[in-house]
Amino acid sequence: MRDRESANRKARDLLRMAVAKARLLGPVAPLTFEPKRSCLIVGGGVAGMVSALSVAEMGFEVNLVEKAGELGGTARRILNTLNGQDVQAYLDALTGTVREHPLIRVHLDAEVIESRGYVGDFTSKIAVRGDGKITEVGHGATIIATGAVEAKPQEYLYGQDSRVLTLLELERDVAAGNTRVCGVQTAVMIQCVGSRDDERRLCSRVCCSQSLRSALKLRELNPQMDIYVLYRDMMSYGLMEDRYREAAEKGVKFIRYELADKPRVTAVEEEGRSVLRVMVRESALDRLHMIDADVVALAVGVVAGQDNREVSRLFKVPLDEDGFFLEAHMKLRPVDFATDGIFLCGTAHYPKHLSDTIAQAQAAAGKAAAILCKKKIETGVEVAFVNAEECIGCGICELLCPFKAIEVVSIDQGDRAHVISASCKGCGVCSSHCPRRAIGMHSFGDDQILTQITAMATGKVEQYA
Amino acid sequence: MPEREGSEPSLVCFCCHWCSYSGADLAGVSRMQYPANIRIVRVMCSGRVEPYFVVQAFLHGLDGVLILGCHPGDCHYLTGNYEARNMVAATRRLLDCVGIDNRRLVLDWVSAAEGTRFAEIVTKFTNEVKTLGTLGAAKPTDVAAVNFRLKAAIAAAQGEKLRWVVAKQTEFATKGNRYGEVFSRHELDRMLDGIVADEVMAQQILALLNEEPASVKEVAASLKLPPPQVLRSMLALRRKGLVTLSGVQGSSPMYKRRNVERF
Repeated sequence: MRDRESANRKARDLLRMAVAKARLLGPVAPLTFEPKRSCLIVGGGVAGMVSALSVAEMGFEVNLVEKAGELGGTARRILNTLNGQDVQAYLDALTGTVREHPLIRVHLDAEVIESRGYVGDFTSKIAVRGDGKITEVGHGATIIATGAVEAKPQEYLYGQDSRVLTLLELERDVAAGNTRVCGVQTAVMIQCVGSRDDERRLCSRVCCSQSLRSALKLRELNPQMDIYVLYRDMMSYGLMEDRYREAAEKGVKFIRYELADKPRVTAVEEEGRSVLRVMVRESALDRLHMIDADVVALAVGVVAGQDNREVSRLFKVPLDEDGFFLEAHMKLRPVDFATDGIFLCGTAHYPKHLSDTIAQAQAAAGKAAAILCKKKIETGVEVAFVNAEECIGCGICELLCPFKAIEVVSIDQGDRAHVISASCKGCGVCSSHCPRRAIGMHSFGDDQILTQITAMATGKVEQYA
Repeated sequence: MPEREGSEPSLVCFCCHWCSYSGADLAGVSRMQYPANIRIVRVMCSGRVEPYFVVQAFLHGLDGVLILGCHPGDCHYLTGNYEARNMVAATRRLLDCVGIDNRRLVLDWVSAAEGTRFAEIVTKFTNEVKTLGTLGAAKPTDVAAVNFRLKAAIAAAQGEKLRWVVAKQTEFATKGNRYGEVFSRHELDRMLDGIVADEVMAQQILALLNEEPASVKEVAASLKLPPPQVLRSMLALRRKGLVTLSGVQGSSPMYKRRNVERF
């Protein structure tokens, strides 16, 4: 490893193999058809709504499927951004526009239960909970925007003591002006709860700025309050660094701890006052701090939705190790899936800020519209084909094909297999099993595969016959 | 397989387009380190990789074949990876008949997100093959014998009978055969054992008779197989019209290959 000579040899071989295959490639007849000028969007949060609106504004019909009873998703629980923008006002306006748009059909309390087809020509079934009504829709593109959820913490007395909250719960109480949060002496926020450890390695990106926002808000409501933020790394992305400085200047105390020595929270009685005692070792000075808090807020981070696995199976798109959806290529193909015609945006992809979500939703909408606006789509070129001279019509291919894309038909010479090119997805299972070796594959034929093996074994590309 | 100097094994890895090829790509993008012995051949589905490709790779002198597909249940083509599993079961038996250690063929699953797993599997496989040694390092006579049997295995892998039975495994295990008899995995395995051995033997006999007529005894001696088994196979080949009597030498009937146009 890190062996330049072998790596070089490998690179030369791979190139040789590619050349060997390329010289055997033949022209393929593309399948040309007009795309269905409609888009299916799964998830009615900010990502789903922004992309729905963008696609609809470009003049295409949209079916927007939301599993909850109202649009908005997680953003419903966020009051404003760190820059002070009013999220709820934005959300209400967005929801209103989406609901009133003539080209957007919103399906609430609904989920997609079946989806098939390929780029330009998908068909999906949407089921509404309750009345069980099933609608079948045709669509040329699909956008997955199923969002993510706030993690449920397992530590720091969460669930056992009502004074321990998650950041979103804190935000809810602050908005309601709840005195048990706003009127107290001391508040502590703990960052990276259940995150960036061996079990869940990801950074949720949004919690640091969310804590800053809550700290500044509490400071504004109650200037006498002592506010502590216990952190491992403060990641105030981009220009939000200014807000971190502001918080520090306004007396919010930041204390750094190490993963190996996490803070401890216990409920105790102190001079007749019931408090949450937080013990934390400040890692730079190696000094143990004791804070008696009235409320503890946990930055629990973002985890992938439970439904992602189901959605992933339904649309045949992959998930990453954390259960978020995986783009075709993290650098070269943003918002694309490996499957053509299906796109991704919002926190279904990875935890991100609202502004990033909106930008990504517009990107996904752009990619979807690029398909929907085409006069003709060319696809499905790498399919199977039958050599009728060799075929004996045994029907094994028909038995094995998962897409019913090959069938035995009677012709003058007897029974012969026939490929339905529009349904064939080119997996090659028929070809690898045909007893007569009568089925060829465009681009993945026996000779095209074996010539690569010959090329790597001999170090030579055979002369063109 | 050509004779080769050196101890570095040469390995081919078939990756399906949707999961494992993306996983390999992720390993590369993430700059993970793994041995450079492997060469990847992309196929759309692991269910495309037939036994014929694998034995052909060994005939070309490669030391190991790794087939990677989507995790069970995640196949982009619904069931292609299960077919890959069926085919590998048959291929392992072919390798057993040839006398190639079947640890040189590995089927495993890598999802598009599992760059780390890809690197681990490749590293483990490369090390495993390194311990087994390169195939071409054997004595030239052994190499010739293995090559002879590999060619027979290739002919068997291209033959209708073996392909038919491999293709029918899923149906036999779920819906049953024409008479509705459903077979257990164990029964299917035994059936495969028998058919693979029969087919490879028959192809070896045909290859020998291609050179010159021979008696059952002579064939059995040169294949190092019990004469009764060879006789049974010879008679079956005769019934199919693939061999014919060429005369009698002493008290032994001599058989020769009959070249027939197929169908």
